[in-house]
Amino acid sequence: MTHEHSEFTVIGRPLPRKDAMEKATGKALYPTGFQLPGMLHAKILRSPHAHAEILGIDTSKAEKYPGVEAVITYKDIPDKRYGYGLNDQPMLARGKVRYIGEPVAAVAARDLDTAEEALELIEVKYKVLPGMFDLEDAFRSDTPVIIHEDYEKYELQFFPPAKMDAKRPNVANHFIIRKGDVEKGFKEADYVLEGKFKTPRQQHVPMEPHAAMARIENDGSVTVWASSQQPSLLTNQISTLLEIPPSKIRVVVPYLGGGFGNKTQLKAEGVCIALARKTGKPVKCSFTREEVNCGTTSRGGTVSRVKIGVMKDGHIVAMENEILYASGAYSGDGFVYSTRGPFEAAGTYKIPNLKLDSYLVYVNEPVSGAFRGFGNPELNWGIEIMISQAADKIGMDRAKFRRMNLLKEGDESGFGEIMHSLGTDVCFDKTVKELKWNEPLAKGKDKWKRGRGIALGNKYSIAPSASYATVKLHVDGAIEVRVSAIEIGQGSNTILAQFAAEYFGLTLDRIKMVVSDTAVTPFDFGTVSSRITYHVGNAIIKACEGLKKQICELAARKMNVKADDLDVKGGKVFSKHDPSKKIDTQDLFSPTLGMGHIGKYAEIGGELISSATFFSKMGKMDPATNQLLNKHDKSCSFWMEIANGAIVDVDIETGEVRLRKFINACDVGQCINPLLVEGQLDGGGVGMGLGLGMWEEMIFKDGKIMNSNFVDYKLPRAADLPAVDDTVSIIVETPHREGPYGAKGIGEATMICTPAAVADAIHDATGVWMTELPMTSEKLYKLLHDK
Amino acid sequence: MVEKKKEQKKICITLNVNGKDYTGEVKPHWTLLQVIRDQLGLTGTKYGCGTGECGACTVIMDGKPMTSCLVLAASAEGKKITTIEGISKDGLHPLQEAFIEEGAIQCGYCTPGMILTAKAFLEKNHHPTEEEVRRAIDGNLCRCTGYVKIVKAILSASKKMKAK
Repeated sequence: MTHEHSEFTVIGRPLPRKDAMEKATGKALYPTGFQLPGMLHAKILRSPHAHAEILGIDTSKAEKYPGVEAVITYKDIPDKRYGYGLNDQPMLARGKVRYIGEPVAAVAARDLDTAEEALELIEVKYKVLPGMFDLEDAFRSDTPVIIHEDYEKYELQFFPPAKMDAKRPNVANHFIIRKGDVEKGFKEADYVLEGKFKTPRQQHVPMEPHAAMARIENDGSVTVWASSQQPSLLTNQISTLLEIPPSKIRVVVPYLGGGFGNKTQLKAEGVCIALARKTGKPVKCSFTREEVNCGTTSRGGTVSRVKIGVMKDGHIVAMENEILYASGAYSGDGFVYSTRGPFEAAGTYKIPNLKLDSYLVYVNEPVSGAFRGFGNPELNWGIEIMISQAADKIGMDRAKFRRMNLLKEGDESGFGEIMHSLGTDVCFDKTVKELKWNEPLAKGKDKWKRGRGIALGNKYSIAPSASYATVKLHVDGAIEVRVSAIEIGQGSNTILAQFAAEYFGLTLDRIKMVVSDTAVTPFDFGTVSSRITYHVGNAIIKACEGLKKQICELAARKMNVKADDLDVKGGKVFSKHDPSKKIDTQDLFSPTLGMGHIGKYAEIGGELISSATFFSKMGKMDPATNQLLNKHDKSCSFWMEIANGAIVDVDIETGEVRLRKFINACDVGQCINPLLVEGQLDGGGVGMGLGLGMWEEMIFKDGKIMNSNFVDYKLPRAADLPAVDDTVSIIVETPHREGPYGAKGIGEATMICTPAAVADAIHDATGVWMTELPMTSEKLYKLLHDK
Repeated sequence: MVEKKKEQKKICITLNVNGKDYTGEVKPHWTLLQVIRDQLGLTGTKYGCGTGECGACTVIMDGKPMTSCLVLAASAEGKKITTIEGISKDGLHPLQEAFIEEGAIQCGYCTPGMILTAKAFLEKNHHPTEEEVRRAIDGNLCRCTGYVKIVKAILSASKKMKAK
């Protein structure tokens, strides 16, 4: 459903992925597949207690166990902590453990069996402390359990505006938005409605568990092969924790078997490096699925409150949000997502008076991390339900009410910025049309009732944020692109090559991608926040401009024309005035010693190679309100807008819900490759959004996970989902004025409002509002029968 | 010196993988998945959960799709085993072609298991409906695609295979 742009030859086309062949034949290499000669295998001893003091660790027996080469505990590493904004997490537990699964010690042995056996020989004495598992209890000022008594001593990194709450000892961050005067707004409103909502802990379940392998080089530097979406952040964390200068750390990331935010930050890399340093041998550590569940990160649970004030004529006058994000035992990515999840309240509707308080709260559970949507789906869940309830209250059609309050071009966001390049209305209108919203819906007879629902959402992409790109012309006329984007499944190697191919008028096979090896590829903020297409794409185009200039300057000397009369397309450099004057880009290189087979070189200026930076700036905000001081500055790099629609059948006797149709419409700016964008829409919407909506929930009892397998943790499977023809992914294209060829992002937008669209449909069918995710049959049954 | 746990003696087995016999020593508790990946170096077969619930390690054994993480290597002696590396000897298999063309591959980690499950299924069912395809791959998890393009690819491959 994309536009045809005749001016593009590569952009906008459904080209098969560059990596498809090696992935289809099983040849593609992933971190779990690495091996080096003489490699040792590492295993991590994890805490069996949710909260306990460490009284002593005795590793002597494990060290003497035949086949064991090294054992490490906190005593073997510097007393440092890491995080993302707030450095509160030790690499190996120091003094206390704060969740079941926290790394306490690690073993390197000649084989995996020996490493596992040796773990059992490590003796750790614990004094068990009372744990804190309930998010709302942990938030209280009189909480009986304080999880981080040394919180004040932790190092805070760059992230403004850090705000603690001295009265609430388990609060790790507090973020606010204050726009207008909500109290006044609620007084003016004809109706004020309020609701309380919950979302569960959700695991990313990347199909490939995390793995890392480290080797110490002869000069003492470190090479680490990692499951990392963010080599830049990982390099800094390794540098901080193990006191290694960044120039001595090389991070190599091959294809990753999915990530969705689960592969940001340090996971297995630290122990591999520490053990490799101690033994002098390469060390590999691969996590089991259970370790992914308890020892990495997941989407933390939330409790939110939404209060909304509306006028009878349909205008929203005020909204107040409070959201508690369960951080787990450490801040993980939470320090940042508790400031960025709140963007959800600011970027869809025109709300003149907005008040928001977002809190990150420690509990004794595994660490919460980045997860597709970064805190936004959790807040969207409550907001969208209250939007529907407000429409019902004033007797206005839910779709009409949404349409009326949408932020439009030139309107002010919740951060006071002037919005632009928005495709919200198009997403919305296409979804309404696909749902046949204006036609009556047959509600169904007997026990199966049919319902239809709609929800809207937005997702920002983070600023400040930078990407570099380097492009180079090879002697055979191919263009090499060097970037640190991670090919995690989204297709970055393909779409980034499309940018360079389009720029130089080449086919995709003439673009060589060199990616994500910090020894040769440049800095990148990371494969997070749906930012790669926009940021790296912009950097590549800038680098291509520089390369073209070099090519034209060199060609001008050879052709005896002025450089600014030249252009480059399809492997030729030609005169703009007289296109018959042309040379091949390959002819820019001269043979050494007159013999081409020794190699060719560019006579002046060295390699034909150009680098560029693209940086997205965030405007200054008033710390008392988080309103932008200049309305034309930006709160984020760009906004993505989404509409979801759902049709469900509900068995009102049992509470069973069957999804009949699902519509996912997202504005992606200019679409670079529809095959890949559809893949994001399908995977994010039905693959992950419906999972969060209908089934997925990590269940804990006293900090211990009760469903660490795929029978008890219910993921969407092929037979659970609507038919291909009833899964409608709609690509909306509203070119972004600062995007590369008008493109922006897509990945996270795809699942922001999926649960709310289903809840809306369930309400339409049954008259019952679900407020806690996931919307299981059991919960719906109870609501239907208590009604 | 701490005593080593009573070590299990290795046993000598011969496995027939992709038409070739491989003879080597394995510990009795090693799974077929471990041996295929670590001993034979065929890393197309993937570890996803170790409990037979995700399908990433699927291989075809005597015509049936099996989760190789639940099969002891020693018990696979005498069976004909096919991994992803063994289905494209004379060019790509129609399923591999369809997965590429339809955009059914994203991270690619579930792809080998998914293709092998589909292959074993299509060999038994030449005229599948969408619902039958969905049921056939219900034991193979994919976290990237929402299965939409995978289902399309399998249906398209089944048509191609019929035409041949």
